[in-house]
Amino acid sequence: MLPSLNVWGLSIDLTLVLIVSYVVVLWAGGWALEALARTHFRRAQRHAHDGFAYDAELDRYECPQGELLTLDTHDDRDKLAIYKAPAASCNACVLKAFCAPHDEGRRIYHSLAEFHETDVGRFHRRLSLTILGVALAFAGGGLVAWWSRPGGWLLAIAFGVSIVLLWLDLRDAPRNPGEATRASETPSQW
Amino acid sequence: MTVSSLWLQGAVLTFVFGFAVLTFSAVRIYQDSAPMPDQVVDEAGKVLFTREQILEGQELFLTYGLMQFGTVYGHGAYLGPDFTADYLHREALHMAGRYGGDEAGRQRVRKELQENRYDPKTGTLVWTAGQVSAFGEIHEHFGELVYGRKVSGVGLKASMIRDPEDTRKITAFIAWTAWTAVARRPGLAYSYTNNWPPEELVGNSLTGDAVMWSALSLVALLGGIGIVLGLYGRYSHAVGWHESEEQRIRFIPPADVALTPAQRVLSWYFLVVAALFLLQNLIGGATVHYMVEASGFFGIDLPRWLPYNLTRTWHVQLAIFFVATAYLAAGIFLAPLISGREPKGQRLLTTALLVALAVVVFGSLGGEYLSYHGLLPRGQRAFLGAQGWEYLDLGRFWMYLLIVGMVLWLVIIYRGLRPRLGTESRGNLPWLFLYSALTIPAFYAVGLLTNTRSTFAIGDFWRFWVVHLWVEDFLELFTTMLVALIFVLMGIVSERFATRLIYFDILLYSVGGVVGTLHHCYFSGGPAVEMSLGAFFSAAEVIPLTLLTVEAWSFLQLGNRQQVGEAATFPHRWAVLFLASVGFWNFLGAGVFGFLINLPVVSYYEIGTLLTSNHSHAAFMGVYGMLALALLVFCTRYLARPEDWSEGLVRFSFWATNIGLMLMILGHLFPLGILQLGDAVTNGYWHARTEWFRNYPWLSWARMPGDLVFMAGSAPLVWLTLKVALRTRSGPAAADRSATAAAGASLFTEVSPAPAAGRT
Ligand code: HEM
Ligand code: SF4
Ligand SMILES: [Fe+2]
Repeated sequence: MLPSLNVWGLSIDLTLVLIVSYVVVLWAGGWALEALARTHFRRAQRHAHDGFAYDAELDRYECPQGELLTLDTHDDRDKLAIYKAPAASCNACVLKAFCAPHDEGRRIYHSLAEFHETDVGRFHRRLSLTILGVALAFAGGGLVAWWSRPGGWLLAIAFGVSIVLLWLDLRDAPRNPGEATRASETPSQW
Repeated sequence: MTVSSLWLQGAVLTFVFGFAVLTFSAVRIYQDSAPMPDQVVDEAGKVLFTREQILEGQELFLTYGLMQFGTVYGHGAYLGPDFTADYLHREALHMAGRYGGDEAGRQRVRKELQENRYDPKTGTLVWTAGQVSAFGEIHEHFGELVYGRKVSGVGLKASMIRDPEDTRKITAFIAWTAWTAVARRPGLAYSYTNNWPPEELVGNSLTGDAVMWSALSLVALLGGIGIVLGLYGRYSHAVGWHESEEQRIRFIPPADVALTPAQRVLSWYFLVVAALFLLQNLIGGATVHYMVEASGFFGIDLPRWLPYNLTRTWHVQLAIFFVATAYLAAGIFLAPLISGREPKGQRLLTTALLVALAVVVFGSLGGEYLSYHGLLPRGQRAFLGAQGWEYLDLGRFWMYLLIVGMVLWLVIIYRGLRPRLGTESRGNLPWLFLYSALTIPAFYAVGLLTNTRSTFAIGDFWRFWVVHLWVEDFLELFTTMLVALIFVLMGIVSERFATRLIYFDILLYSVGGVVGTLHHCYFSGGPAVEMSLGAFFSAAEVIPLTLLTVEAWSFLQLGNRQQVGEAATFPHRWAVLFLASVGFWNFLGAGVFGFLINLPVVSYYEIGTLLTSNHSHAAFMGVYGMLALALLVFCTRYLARPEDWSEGLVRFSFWATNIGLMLMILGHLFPLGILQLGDAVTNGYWHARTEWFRNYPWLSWARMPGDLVFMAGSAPLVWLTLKVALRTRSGPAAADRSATAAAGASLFTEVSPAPAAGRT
């Protein structure tokens, strides 16, 4: 087995130090996974309307040619807002071929879904919850093994923090009303 | 061409560059790999063994499946010792004891072992008395541990190899590898293996080259990422999945998509995929069980029939087979969708291929059984039985047959695409699909250059042309190819954007992935330049992995948007999620865990430990396994009658396999791998591979939950595919079918202009 370390006059089992470090690495990993996924999610959402500026106050987009796209359809169930430019402007526009290759005027589909409401978002969330779960298991297992041994308090802290993190993460993603309604409509829910 | 021809030229150039460098290293390896003496003699000139005997020993070692029990030069399976390092350690101990056991004795050991007494002119290697007597003692040790055990243990059965001539040859082979690991290259300060394994007793430690090239490799990675991300930020519009306008499309319900006769046969393929996957999981369970109970399975004397080396071989081979079957099937499924019709006779060919596959799979697994149990005549072992090179385990005959099968597959794909190929430029998507399909058998066939009697460094080099170039180059390409095609067929991205992305992929993988092959050849006896090239170029492999993950994200977002918009009609929710998991595991398993063990300074201690297992599970199952499941789900969705399809089963599989894999990795392989690596650094490599391994049975039980969750995920797929195979949807009436087919069988229709489902 592994030797003991002497830290500040306390003798601490190296195995225990490793377990605690691993638990910390898992916290960081779970956090990083979700943070990265969220960043990409936002980036991808932004990319969907590159070149178009959104004006939140007036709830409309301005296209590269200065034409305004106003709210056309708001689909609550599907969490989608559709903005549309006047067909006449687009049909007369130099960018038409690239921007709106049909005669109805350019549309922008603006997804109102939050990260954790999308499938891909939920996938990454669950993986990060799994990682926190592993952290909890290591801390818990260690706590049982070191219950009455020196250094056990470190594991108690790790265990406590793991629970709090898991709880925070779970609370962070409330089952929103939209999801609840959809659950009753389609059989393919989680 | 759909895209600028510069893309094609660029792709061809980088491809040629990559293979030019790799060919250069092939030449160098033939010139400069560790020599195998014509004879090894003692100081009096008495012949101990000959080159022929060493080669026969290697052949026996391989065909008895010992490379699937332990490792040589760190390559092989992990329950047994690393024979090279173990031999070297025992040899040094034995000699030191013989020379008095004091510091002077130890110095003498170091000097004697490092001194290169091989004379290339006469082909003779002279061993000192110490080396000669160590050989006898170690031979006896391996006899008790492996060849002639009294009872089952260490995953092997009792009296496995009886002929004393044979066992002596095997030990001679191992002794030769240990000699190459310590004898200094003429005129240089390091051994043929760049001083691998780390072993204090013989004075083996990291070389300056290893440290320098590790540093340069980091530079290559960071610099490469910087350059590529910079360029990418600038030109991402040219390659990304961004569209001018996202078209609002409606997916044709799977039940309304016409199926061709050949496509309908594929439901049997997917049943085979699911069944092989389940079997692979179960055998994996038995394999990992040997880590906690080396003499059996809950008290049963399992090694008598299914020793560890056999289950490990089957586990690995089945992984390749189930993935390959899914790829073959998906290719055949997509061909008529691309070309819009199906020539006569495809159904027959597709059925023939399935039969051929079944013969290869069960024939080769059977051959491995017979070979490892010593039930084949000597001349037939490597041919009908097993060649025993890890991953190319199957006998040569089965390898030929598999290549024939893959060529038959190419014929099917070619016939299927032909109507479309004639009308397309050679640089367009359908042609790219064909080229990409062509690389798979082509690079498998390279494996024929390896045989049981190739000098190890050379055999291993060609073996990794298959193993590495498949998974880190051509399968990555084929993956992008399939996914891009599927997304084009579903109308989510345009052909132009998909084509650019594929070219971009070829460019990036050809830079790093091709030469990166050499990251498997750092320490197996090739020249040091392999280490430099391997370290430097393989670092660049991480770039496409990170970048494509970013890209995959954007495009999954597109799929996601469609799904948000059309929740009720989007038929591929789970296929798209499996693809999302491919992206995730590519990043974590291949990118992060691959790079973690990639630097020569890490690999020097790490090779052949559970950290490799950690990487290979996360990367192989995570990327290719999940992709196989994505393809299964995607195609089966069309093959199933609506009443047989079950979202619930697929959903369960998706979560169970992904969460199970994560638990397996983080609950077991990764932490244990780190501990083992730590042990290799502090107590020596041989120790980490033997003594240490027995210390952590309790942690091995930590593997159970993940494994069980994972396995639970494979069973529902068997049930689903079985139902579908037995009652494949017959598709719209015949008249209908020709109509749909003629229209170019698309999987979507555009719905503009009217905004769908308008509820304001
Ligand atoms: C999806 C992609 C990948 C797959 C499926 C994969 C799979 C594997 C497998 C199965 C092995 C074990 C080989 C053996 O036992 O000899 C392996 C080893 C290795 N892989 Fe990967 N790999 C992938 C990507 C990468 C990447 C991107 C890197 C690093 C840049 C990498 C670095 C390594 C190294 C250094 C080894 C040698 C470890 C050893 O021999 O102990 N891999 N890989
Ligand atoms: S096509 Fe329409 S939306 Fe696009 S740039 Fe021109 S006016 Fe603006
Ligand atoms: Fe590799």
